[in-house]
Amino acid sequence: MAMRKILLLSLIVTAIFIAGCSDEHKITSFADLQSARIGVYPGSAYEINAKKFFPNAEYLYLDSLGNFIQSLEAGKIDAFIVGRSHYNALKDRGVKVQCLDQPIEEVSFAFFFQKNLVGEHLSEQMNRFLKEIEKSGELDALKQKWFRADAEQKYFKKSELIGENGTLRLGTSANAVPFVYLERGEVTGYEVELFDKFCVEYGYNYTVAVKNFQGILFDLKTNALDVGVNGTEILDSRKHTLIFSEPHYTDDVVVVVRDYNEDENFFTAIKNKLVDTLVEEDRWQMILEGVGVTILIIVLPTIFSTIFGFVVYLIYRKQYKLFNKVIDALCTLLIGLPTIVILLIFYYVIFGSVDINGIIVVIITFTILSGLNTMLILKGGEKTIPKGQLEAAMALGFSERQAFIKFILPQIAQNFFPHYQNIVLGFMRGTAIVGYVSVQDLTRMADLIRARTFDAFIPLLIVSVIYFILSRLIMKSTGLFLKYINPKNRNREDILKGVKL
Amino acid sequence: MSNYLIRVEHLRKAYGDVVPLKDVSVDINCGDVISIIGPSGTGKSTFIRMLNQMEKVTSGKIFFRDEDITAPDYRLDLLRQKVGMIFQSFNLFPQMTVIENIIAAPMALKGMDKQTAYDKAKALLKRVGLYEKIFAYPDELSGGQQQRIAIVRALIMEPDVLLFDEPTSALDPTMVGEVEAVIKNIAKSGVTMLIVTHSMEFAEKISTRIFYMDEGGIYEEGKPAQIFYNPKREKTRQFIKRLKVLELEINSPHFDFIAYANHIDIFGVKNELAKKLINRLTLMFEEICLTILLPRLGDTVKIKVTIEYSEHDNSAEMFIDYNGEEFNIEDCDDDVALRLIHKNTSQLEYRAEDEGGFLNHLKFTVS
Repeated sequence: MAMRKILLLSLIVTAIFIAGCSDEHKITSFADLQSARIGVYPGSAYEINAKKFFPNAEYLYLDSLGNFIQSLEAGKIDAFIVGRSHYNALKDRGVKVQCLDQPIEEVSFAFFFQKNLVGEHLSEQMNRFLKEIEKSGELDALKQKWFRADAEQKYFKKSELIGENGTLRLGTSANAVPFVYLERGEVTGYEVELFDKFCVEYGYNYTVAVKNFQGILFDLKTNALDVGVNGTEILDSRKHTLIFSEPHYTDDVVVVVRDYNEDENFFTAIKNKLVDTLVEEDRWQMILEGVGVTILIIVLPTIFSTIFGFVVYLIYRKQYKLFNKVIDALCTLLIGLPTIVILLIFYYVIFGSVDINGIIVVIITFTILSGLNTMLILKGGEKTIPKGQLEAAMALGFSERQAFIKFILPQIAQNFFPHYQNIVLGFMRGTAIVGYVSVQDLTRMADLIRARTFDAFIPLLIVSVIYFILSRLIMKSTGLFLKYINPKNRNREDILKGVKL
Repeated sequence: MSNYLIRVEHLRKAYGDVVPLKDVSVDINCGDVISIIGPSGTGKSTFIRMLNQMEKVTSGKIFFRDEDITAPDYRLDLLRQKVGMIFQSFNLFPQMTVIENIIAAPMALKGMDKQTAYDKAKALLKRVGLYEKIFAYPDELSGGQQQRIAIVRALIMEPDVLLFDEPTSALDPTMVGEVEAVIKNIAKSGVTMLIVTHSMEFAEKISTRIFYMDEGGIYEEGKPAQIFYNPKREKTRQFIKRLKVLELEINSPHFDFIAYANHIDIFGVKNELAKKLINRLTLMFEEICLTILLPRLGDTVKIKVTIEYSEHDNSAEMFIDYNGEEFNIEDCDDDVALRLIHKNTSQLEYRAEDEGGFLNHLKFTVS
């Protein structure tokens, strides 16, 4: 049964995929670009240069090489503008693209730091370091290794560092091959090795946090990070908020278009992509890790929020004025906000100054959100219990409290738990946004793989199938739970256990 | 020690401007089986619900064996263990089996062990004929069965008094009998009971006392024989005979005849009078008031018409009180009208007496 559903699902996804590949607008010269749709990184040097050369083109803003490739393949853009190094990385991976011969401009790349005394100090050290290794020829060797050599040589291992001068916190999105990217779950690349050597030289240790670019900027501002590396170009506009080191690499800005000569069998293409997504660099481990995190952030908040919801509800019933006002206000406030916004507020504002794992923030946020939801359902559920039930118990001589706990609450719970399947399924769907706060769940892992393989179809398909299986598991287990807690499913002999009939 | 079980003193209950009970004082003695009857909205349920303090009194006092149960620090939970209550809608706990419904309270509140509770429940269930249902859930039982279980649930606490709040009103007519039989059986065993009921036959059969409630209190009380066959007061009589009453007053010669005739019509239809009876009532109203009385009385006209319809014998009595000089309508010279009146009425009586602001009183039966 489930097999057939999965088959159907994959058929649908395949159909969408095939439908996505269409619509061509051939680009062979700069002139063709004037009326084309061009993909650029928002706010980047590429965007600024592209707009200078092709003011009449239509621009689409995308945030990773993977997205550029997928948009190009799907015909959503006709060309995109990146550095030559990016382009070379794509060619290395066998991506079917070509670039126009003539570069449009040059850009320089650098590390960036907090705009304060610490940042100034670090950037000075970095500049000194860059000058030294340029002189010694070490920098050229590094460039040779990461930008020209074949894949086997592009290997890097973090040095043994004591960190006698402290530990630096490095932030990156790890999606800029070959500057900085993920391989076998490890952050690697030209900039990382360069930074590693800098740390060796100047006696630092370092930690790496993977975040989106906005997150890195925010954390630098709030002193949660010391340095950012992300294949980032030096931009005058960014100098208001950041300190850039001297450039460590200079690159051509090139126009990348489709390789119109491509002709690959559909099934071979699928097979190659499958191997690329799962087998290469043991990426299936990333998927597994993602599944683990996703299950964790489904199961724990489900349990915690149930407890939290019941506790809040029981206190709420006592009618403490202040408490109820706070809870009412929270409910009104949180119900109108998208979950992602609430999550970002918790991560960047409430826990912004605390060094805390994103997973914990996610669990706390979901527990509170869903707990309040649970409380509201319970509150509404109490109204569906006939008044006569409480009266009957009290008329027998139970106090109002006893009557509620013994006779009413079980009925409210009984009415509440059928909502459970929906609540937990809602959770599962909701978890896909946690990538925003640096939690590497299933969806985020798929994104990272996508950024590495430049293919959206296979990772998304795999992720869909896994989510589908998870949802089935949730339905099954909550179903069993419901059956278990239904008093009518009790064994009738157990009711009068120990009594001589 | 006085011999009452419950004493009610100047009890008053108000919900904002609505005052269902104005001033009630009464003694309830051990062994009394009291049925409380009366029109709806006269505070019958409110009254018995105050006896176990499910409703708070607005003012007044209730004593249970010399203890003031309206005192703010009185332990109501202990009171309620001694005062059982049976509700119109049964109120069994749906998540529990029959046996759990019954033994929950004695085990939790009286510290009764499970075996004892079970044995007592078993005896009571056998008494009401439902022992085979111990593992059933309430929704698997008929209304009548549920109510009998609710009675057992109250009885197992060995209460001093049982309050029944319309125990058969929510039941299908075919199930009323089984519940009434159980209540009758308990009444015989000497438990003090108060029963709010609409079933007069039932009240008459089982009660030692009847309270007729109306006008914000116990309007009349007495033994069943007195209340049902010889009520002392007017409203009791109307209620017992199940009279439906319509009153019309004419204070001007230009009164709206069409509207008044319509009142009679609506009254007739509402109470399911035969069409013929309605027509005759309208005709009599027209002949007597319009044809005979109005021309005589002129501008000073003051007539009060009362129609009482009795469901018992399907006939209506009409009372016409009017002012002016002493005048029997049979003395008038309109032969046609008189013939019509005689043809459609019986037991025509006239008396002249200054009573209720009228000198002339006419009474007859239309059937």
